[in-house]
Amino acid sequence: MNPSLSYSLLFVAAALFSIGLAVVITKRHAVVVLMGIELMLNAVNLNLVAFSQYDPSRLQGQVFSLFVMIVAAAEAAVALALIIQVYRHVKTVVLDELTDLKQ
Amino acid sequence: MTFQTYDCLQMLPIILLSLSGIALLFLGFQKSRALLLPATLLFLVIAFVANFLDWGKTYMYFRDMLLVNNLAMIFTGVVLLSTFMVVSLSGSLADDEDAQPAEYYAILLFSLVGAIMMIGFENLIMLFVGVEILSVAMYILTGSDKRNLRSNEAALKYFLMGAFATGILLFGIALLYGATGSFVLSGIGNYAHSATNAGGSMLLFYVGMFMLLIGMLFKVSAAPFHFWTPDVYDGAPSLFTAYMSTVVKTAGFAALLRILSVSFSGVYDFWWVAMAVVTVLTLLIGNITAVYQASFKRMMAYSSISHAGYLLIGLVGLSQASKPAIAFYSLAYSLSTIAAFGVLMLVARNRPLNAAVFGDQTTLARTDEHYDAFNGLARKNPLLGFVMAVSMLSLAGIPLTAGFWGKFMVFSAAADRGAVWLLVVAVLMSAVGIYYYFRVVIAMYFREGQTDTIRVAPFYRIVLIAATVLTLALGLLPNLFQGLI
Amino acid sequence: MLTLFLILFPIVAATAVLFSTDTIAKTAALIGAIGELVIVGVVFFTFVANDQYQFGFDYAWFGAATNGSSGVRLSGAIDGISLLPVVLTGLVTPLIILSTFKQTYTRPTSFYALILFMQAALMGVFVARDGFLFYFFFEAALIPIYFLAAMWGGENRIAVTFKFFVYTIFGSLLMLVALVYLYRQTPLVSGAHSAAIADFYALNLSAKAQGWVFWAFFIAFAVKMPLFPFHTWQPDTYVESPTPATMLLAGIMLKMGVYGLIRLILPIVPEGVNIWGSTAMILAVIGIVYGAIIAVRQRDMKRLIAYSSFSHVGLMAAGVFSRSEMGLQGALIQMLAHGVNVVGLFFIAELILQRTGTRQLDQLGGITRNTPRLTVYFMIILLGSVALPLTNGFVGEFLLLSGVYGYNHYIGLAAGLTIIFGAVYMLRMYQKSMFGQPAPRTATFVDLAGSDSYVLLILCVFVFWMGLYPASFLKLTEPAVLNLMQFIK
Repeated sequence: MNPSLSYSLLFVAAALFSIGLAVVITKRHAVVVLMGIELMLNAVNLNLVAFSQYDPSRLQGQVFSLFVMIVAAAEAAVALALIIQVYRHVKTVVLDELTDLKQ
Repeated sequence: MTFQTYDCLQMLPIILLSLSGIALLFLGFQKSRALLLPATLLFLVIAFVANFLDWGKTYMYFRDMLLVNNLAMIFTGVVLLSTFMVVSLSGSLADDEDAQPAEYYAILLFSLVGAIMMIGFENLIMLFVGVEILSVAMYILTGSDKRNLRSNEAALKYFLMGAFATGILLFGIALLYGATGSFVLSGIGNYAHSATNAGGSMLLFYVGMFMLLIGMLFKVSAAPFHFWTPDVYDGAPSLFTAYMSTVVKTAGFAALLRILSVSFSGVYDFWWVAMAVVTVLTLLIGNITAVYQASFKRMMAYSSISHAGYLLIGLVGLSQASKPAIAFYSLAYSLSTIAAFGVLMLVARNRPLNAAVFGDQTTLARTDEHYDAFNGLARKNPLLGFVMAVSMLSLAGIPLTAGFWGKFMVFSAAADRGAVWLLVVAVLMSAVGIYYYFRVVIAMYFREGQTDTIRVAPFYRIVLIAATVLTLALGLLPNLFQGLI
Repeated sequence: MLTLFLILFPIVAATAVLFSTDTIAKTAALIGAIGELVIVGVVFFTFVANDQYQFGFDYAWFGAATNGSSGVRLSGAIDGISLLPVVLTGLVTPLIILSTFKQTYTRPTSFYALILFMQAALMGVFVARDGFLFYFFFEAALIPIYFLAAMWGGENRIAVTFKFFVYTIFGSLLMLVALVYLYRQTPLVSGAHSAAIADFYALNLSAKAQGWVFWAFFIAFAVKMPLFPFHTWQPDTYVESPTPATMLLAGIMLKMGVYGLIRLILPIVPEGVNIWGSTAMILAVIGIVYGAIIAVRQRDMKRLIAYSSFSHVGLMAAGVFSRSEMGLQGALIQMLAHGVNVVGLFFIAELILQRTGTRQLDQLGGITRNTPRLTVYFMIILLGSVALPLTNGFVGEFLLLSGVYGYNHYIGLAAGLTIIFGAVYMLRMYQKSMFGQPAPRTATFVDLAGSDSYVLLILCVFVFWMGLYPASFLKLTEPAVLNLMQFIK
């Protein structure tokens, strides 16, 4: 496959990862942070698939990306449950307003 | 070394734990909860025995996905033992109307599967899956006290931080895969050896390596990636804090040890400075912040950070000596930590905080976990006092206890590499550690308090005594353990 | 094997006391300590005056080679250098227990068990031949004394003893680093390093390494003794501790530091001592003068004795760092002599406190009137500690001062001040407390009787025995000291 194409894929992945990272760091809403994390994981998937071009067996990276997707789904399920639970208590999921632990 | 390849049904502990976890879920349908605790303990004992069936041999399982050797078996033994102790301290769950012990026990057993994968992984897929199984289980258990806002808040924070760390870890794995074309540890190790000799750019490899390490350091709460730890440990129910600070840490360090010694030992010169800096930071932040805590439980959170620092010393001085050192240290640390939390839970249960002080419903379930709660404990409860005192001595690394030999062994590993300055930092911080560990001893033995005699269930008592005896026995005869490796 | 019994017997006795009843704890502890004294007596009288280790034991402990040799070992034995500290520990512990016979302490089983545990740990320090076994007991000794001081001590006990504890642990942790370093430097013999102290002697370390190893050891021992400027924990701890604990601290425990200087620092890092020894010597001499000057100004008897002990131990350290045979011999015999004297002095301070309710010198006076026994015993022990000829203190201080004088005349002269100051503050204490007009508190002072008087009598016997016939001790230590001198040069 064309090497320049996979280079561009790397740049896209890196950009996606950085956007996800920036979202996690700057946003204070729990759901938005979760979305940022998902972006990071998708960047990883893109990378894995792109790199599997050079893998003689071709499959490892793609299989790994399947694992990542499945685990991300499981994580999201747990995360949403937790967010709802917190919301029931304090009617907010903005992280800066959750200060009970700081005491 | 020749590996014999067997097929999947031989990897007994993982399979047994998964099956028994499911079995526990079914047991949960029964009305009576009395059976759950003994059943869980029985499953753990069976897994413990099954784990050591392969003693003395080295096998690769699941088409070179997992390695089982003596070291892995010892680490697995340590996490199973820790879990056994934590579970046996959980008797009060059965009386709690809102708790779902069947689910908790099942999740604990499932999470152990993840821990075992982290201990023996040969392929980075296994590392990732292991880390996630363990972490997701921990997110749930942290938030298991649903009435308590602190517990929920801790779980949410833990999740966000943990998932963030996973993202970094995964990106590192992806870059390593791009650089080396392999997820297999030995394949990455071969690349590191040959590429350093061949020269040329290894940027992708190094970036990947550091991201992977950062992800793992997050999980073992090494500074500067530790900031989630105090809140999470403080907010989680004490039982699961004990589990987190022992099993998760042991598995995390086993994983770090494996990847550093197999894959990255060829580029030791490249990462040791960074790891040494992390170590020093972890020791400084963990110990010094622990001094300022008023809550015992929060102190234990910082103490677990500082112990991550001591374990990191063993990694910085990476050598053959590091393996038994980290295994022994994990064991010593786990025994004392669980015993300390065991006493804390008893003390705290007897001292519910007055809700009126805080004035809102959400704090109803809070109990007093401050140092003051221990005042005068040893007068009326000499056994609890003694158990706690030995735990604190062991955590502080005083001779006669297992903790001393743990420190001795990790220090020896670092001394071989000539990192004496690191040891000086470490012992200075140990002296600081004495300060906060002994606050509890002082409160228990020398201060006056109105503690009543605390009723301790017989089995609970046996576990506490066993942990103490084991700590002292390993302190007097460390070769008991050394003979195993 | 006898050495192993020396360590194990007090542990067994302590465990027995711990599980005995409150009424018999005291007697049981005394019987245990006397049993230990009998073993020490056998060791002392069957000890052969040569440079060999005797009565030894040796077992693999940790990290041994495949053939079971080297590694960290449980090994201990007695040579001429260990002998006197062992005798001191064996002798003083039963006296300390006997001295409490007219006192009642709360929770006596724990109290006496801790004293005996302490004795076991101290014995371990003095007989250990393995670096880590030494360290192990060095720290283990701290735990019983900490509990003794913090559970039965005075008003400020918690803060004061905690300072003491953290201070000393900090010092010994530095020693741990040095020991780990030395251990990993020893050559591999069939796959294992060796932690034997004798193998540390044979190491060829660079001057730089010797320098920092010197300081790591020195700080550990200097905190323990204590030497200037590491002494700030000492006076408060001595004053706040219950008197039996003070006696253990001043009588035996500070000798661990002096012993460590002789056993570890001098032979392991001779080059380091060459470079830094004079600094250490100057610190020691500053301590001598400083301690003595402060002692002169004290009004509390216990505090005064504490500072005098600080001053005396400085002289022992200076003698050790003179690296002469006289200095070393003097330090060894002075360890024993000072142990005997300081225990006696603290006991007398305690007796006066019990009878009058105060230790303040200006509230005392005129005790001599109806107390012939106390007057005589106090005087004898006092003269011993001001180093009057024919008493035990004289032998030690004379040897120490000649050693220091031979090293450097000026330092020798400065150190010699200790004798003058010692006479000043000791006689002042005696005069203020015993002579003069009776104060209201001392008018009804009752003389010693029974156990109290036996304790002081036995101590006085030792004051004269060591003063009149020091050769009975010095000839036992001499071969070992000469042997040690080979490593120093």
